[in-house]
Amino acid sequence: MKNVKYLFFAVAIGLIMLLSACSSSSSDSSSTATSASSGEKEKQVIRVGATTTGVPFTFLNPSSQKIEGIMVDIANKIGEHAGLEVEIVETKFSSLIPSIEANKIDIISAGMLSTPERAEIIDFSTPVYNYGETLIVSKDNESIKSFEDLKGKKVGAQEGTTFYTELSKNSDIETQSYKAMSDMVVEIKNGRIDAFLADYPVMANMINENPDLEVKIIEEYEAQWPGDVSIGLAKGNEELKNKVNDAIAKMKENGEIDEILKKWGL
Amino acid sequence: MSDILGFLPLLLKGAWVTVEITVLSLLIALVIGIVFALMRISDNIFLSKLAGIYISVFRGTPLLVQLMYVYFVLPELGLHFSPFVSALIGLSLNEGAYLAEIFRAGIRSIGKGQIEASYALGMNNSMAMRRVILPQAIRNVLPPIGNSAIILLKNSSLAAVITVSELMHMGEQLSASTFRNLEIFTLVAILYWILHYPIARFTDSLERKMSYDSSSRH
Repeated sequence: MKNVKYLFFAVAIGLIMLLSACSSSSSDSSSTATSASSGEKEKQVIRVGATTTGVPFTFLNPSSQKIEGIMVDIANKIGEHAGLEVEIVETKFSSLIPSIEANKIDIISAGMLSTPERAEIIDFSTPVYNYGETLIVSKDNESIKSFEDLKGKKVGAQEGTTFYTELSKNSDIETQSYKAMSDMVVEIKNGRIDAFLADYPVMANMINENPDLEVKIIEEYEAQWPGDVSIGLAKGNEELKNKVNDAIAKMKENGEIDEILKKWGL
Repeated sequence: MSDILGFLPLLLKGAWVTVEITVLSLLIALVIGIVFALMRISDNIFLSKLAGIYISVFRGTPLLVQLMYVYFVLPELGLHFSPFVSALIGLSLNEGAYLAEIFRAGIRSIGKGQIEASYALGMNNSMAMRRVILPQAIRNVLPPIGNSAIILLKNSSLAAVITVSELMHMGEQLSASTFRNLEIFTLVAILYWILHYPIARFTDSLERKMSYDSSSRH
């Protein structure tokens, strides 16, 4: 009987703590909102959606415990030029466009290629740089050399990517989607897929860093869907789009983009 | 080995978020559970139906869908929540529905004779509930609640899809940047096991104490 009372008491205390936590966090957010709108001195905050797909695009660095990479550097530089304070919001790749629609983030800086399908839902800035996909197979696989060799094979690609969409249009290829590139490396080892398509820069870097991975890049493979990496924006936000485009133009002119790409070995 | 130690700080950070989400949503869910259980068994048809609909909706749809709904769909209706708060809302509403059914089963497990005896002693409905029925009912439902709390702990890993940096999400991010799946997910599994242990022990000891309490009274 007494113990039941104690139990209720504990629950009540917990709820009070929770409510105070909520109210303090809500006052936090309201204070940032006022500081952002009050303006000229305080920098406006821009929420940047980024996906930790891998080194060197965007990744969680275990030693610095921060999200780093090309797309983060580019977002930060854009912020610098546009006079905006950048806040990185780590978002799964397939959730990036819904996040823009739900106003959870302001721009996407995630190595996203601008495609007509995506451009129907979101806007893209001018291209920042371009790259294509690569073909990865098991180290001892000698039969797959080109895209044509994939017929009748099981091929993986990351969900939400252009590679997956394009790949699944081929009815003679058995396409499987995965959340992460690291999952597909394991799947090749386990023999559940014969090959997979993924971002060339990420895989090249990964195989360099981990020579013991039992996969290899088909160097002679020609990228089927090379594309432009652009910054994604909500439709109709012309003011922000202009700011971002101006920043990108400046960065191309003064060589800052090349500098960033070089820094990360691209 | 040094790699593994390098992963630990981030995984522990994620584990702490997991603990926060689990404890907070469990507390909210306990309140939701008991309120909706009482509504469900009340004579008021409106309240009873309302509770029935709530339980049916939240038990009948996947938690993953509920989390996505709170985070991605509600903003279109003008309701904006941070990822953490969205996770709390989704998890506690989901868990609350299960706990409501557990509480209801617990209350029903107490014989009708007891409430009739309470009325005979001059208690009204709420007094009988508070003093006679609920103390026994809660003791009966402690094991299933503990069980449900452990499931909640593990379900919190689904919050990864709405960008909450809990334990599983940290593990996924680390594996994307280092490809060391074996080490990272082994650590993640161990950490979840360690987190579940106190819940299991706590319900055990609570159960023992409460059963002792009632036996000494009789």
